[in-house]
Amino acid sequence: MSGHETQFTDADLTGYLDGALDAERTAAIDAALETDADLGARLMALDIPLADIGRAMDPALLGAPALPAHLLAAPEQQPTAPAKRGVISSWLMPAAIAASFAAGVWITPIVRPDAPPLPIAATGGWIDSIASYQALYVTETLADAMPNAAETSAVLAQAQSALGVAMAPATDVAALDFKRAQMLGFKGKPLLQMAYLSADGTPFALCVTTVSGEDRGAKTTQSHGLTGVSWVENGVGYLLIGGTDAEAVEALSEQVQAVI
Amino acid sequence: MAAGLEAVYPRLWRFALSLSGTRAGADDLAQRTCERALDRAEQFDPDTHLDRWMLTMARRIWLNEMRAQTVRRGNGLVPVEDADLVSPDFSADANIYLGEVFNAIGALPESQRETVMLVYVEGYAYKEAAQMLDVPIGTVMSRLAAARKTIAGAFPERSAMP
Repeated sequence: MSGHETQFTDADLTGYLDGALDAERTAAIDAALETDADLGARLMALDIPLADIGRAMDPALLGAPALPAHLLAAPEQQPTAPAKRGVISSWLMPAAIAASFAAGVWITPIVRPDAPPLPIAATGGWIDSIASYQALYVTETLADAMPNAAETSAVLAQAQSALGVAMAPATDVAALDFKRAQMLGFKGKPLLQMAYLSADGTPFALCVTTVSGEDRGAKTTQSHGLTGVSWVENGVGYLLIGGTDAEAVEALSEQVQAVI
Repeated sequence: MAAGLEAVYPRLWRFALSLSGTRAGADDLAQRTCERALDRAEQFDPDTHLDRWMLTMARRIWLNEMRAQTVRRGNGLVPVEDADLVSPDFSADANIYLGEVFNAIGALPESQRETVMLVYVEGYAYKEAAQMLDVPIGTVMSRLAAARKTIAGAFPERSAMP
């Protein structure tokens, strides 16, 4: 038995595995592992298949339902300013929350002095819905994600089966660091999400789903404070979304279109 | 915020499933949480995070209003084959293992399960999870350590050193 048994608790080792210890504590465990096989065994006994836990709890796999209709506010009901407490009727409350968010985290106006404002993606459409999800991503969401080749291949095979698209080349896009792929769902249809971080830490997502409507070329829109470039090919919609720099997103989307 | 609620809802439902153990319970808890959020919309600080606010609220509703009334089998989620999960095809060969993982999470004591969900599934930092669970960070770490031991014991061949 090593002296590290008391020096490092299981909670410490858990923090180490999770990358949550400070540098000093991490260095101490790193150093101890050089000489202490028991410590390595203790770490092994705490190691778990984190990626598989994430896959098992994937909302799409679990069949997580969409927000029930009675909790959704029709866009035309949204007021232009927050309503006063006690005055607003209950059916307008979702819109009131929308207004409160508009004042805060959700909308980041994009100002390009040399260009007209970007068109806004249709509310409730696939681009808008993906944008609302992507808006929750921050650098930290993906910073520690390590691509797992086997898992990625499995997801992309699933996507190919469901959507008829071969997206493996999109794991290798210059200027974007691929992090993970997962199957989500939108209105009962499969939706592939491929997540990336750009060099400056901006989260990007390349999403693919079947869409109605005719094929069309690339179009740049804004939704939930994010800029996205979308196109439709053979009934499949593609959306690259992330950050607020339209020119950067457009350049990246050209790279993506070139490889897939 | 319809879009905000809409975006968070699948994760809220998943967390509700982890607490309640059944699809019906998850539906009930997730919808109650949304209704409560709408009732208390003016209390939400737009400079904070909607997802954390919603999940914290769901947990409180579960603990204060639903847990005692809910008939549950065992101390965790019901086995996946009994969980009334319509869409997920855990019976497919490729997903049998994922069903086992789901059950392993569900078999954890509630305090460990909710901590695992917040940190390892939802991706919150220890500090964030501690705030949402209203416990010290050390408690979060201890719960995760205990959960890791249990899960690692259940899937020794699946674990791999980083």
